[in-house]
Amino acid sequence: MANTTRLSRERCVCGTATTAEVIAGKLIVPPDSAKAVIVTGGWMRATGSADTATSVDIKDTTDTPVVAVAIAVAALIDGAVVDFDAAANVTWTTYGVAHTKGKGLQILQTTAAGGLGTTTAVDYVVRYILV
Amino acid sequence: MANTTCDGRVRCKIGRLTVAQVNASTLVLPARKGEAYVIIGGWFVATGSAGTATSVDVIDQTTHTVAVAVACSALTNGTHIPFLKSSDITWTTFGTALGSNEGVKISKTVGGGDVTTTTALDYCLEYLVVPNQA
Repeated sequence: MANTTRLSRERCVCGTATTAEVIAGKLIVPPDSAKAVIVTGGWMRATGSADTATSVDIKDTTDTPVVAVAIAVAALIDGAVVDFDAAANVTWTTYGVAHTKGKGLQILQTTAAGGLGTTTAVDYVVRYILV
Repeated sequence: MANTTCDGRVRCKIGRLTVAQVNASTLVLPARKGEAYVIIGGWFVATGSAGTATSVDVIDQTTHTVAVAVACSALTNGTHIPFLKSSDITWTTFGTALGSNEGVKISKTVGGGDVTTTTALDYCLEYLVVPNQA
């Protein structure tokens, strides 16, 4: 993480993405041309246990989306809340660090893997700041 | 969770309730006309281990919809129990809007036995305030 201190009011976006939306990508934080988004925390909860895909990710909206945090489908068991700060099944990439200015956030499965199976929806709560 | 998206500023309410207040069900966030609360996180710490009751719940004011329930077996003296803990927590209307125009209470399991042994409960509720959901 860059040696930079960021101070901003924390916001949170929450909702539900259907499996089809997770496969295709669902915009959850729209881009702001003047701001960069930093993911600071959150959680996911699947309805129906997820399988097939590798992970469900919070990514930015660049053409080659940059991962903020990825939750392994092995942890997305029906009804279980998976904390982004959990010690297992979570991969933090551009997490607590600014994404490119002018980019939003989306919830999207790992693109290299097969489509998300079994689960019918994923609830998400994503905490972030805009800097 | 309803398939709607809520986006708002994260707010936090911290306080302490006596066990009598928990058993009586105490309002901790007041009702707001035209708005609803979304509980997104928080924690409890009991002073003295909680007994008898099944759980201590965060519920909405009138319909008693449960946002999150913390098992009393986990509320041992001085133990910090985050709502995102992987055990002892039941998430219901968590991360989604509670009742329209309703406040938020902390309560023993509605209709259940009293919380005993413990003397107080420290709480932190992390929440959003959003327009009433359809």
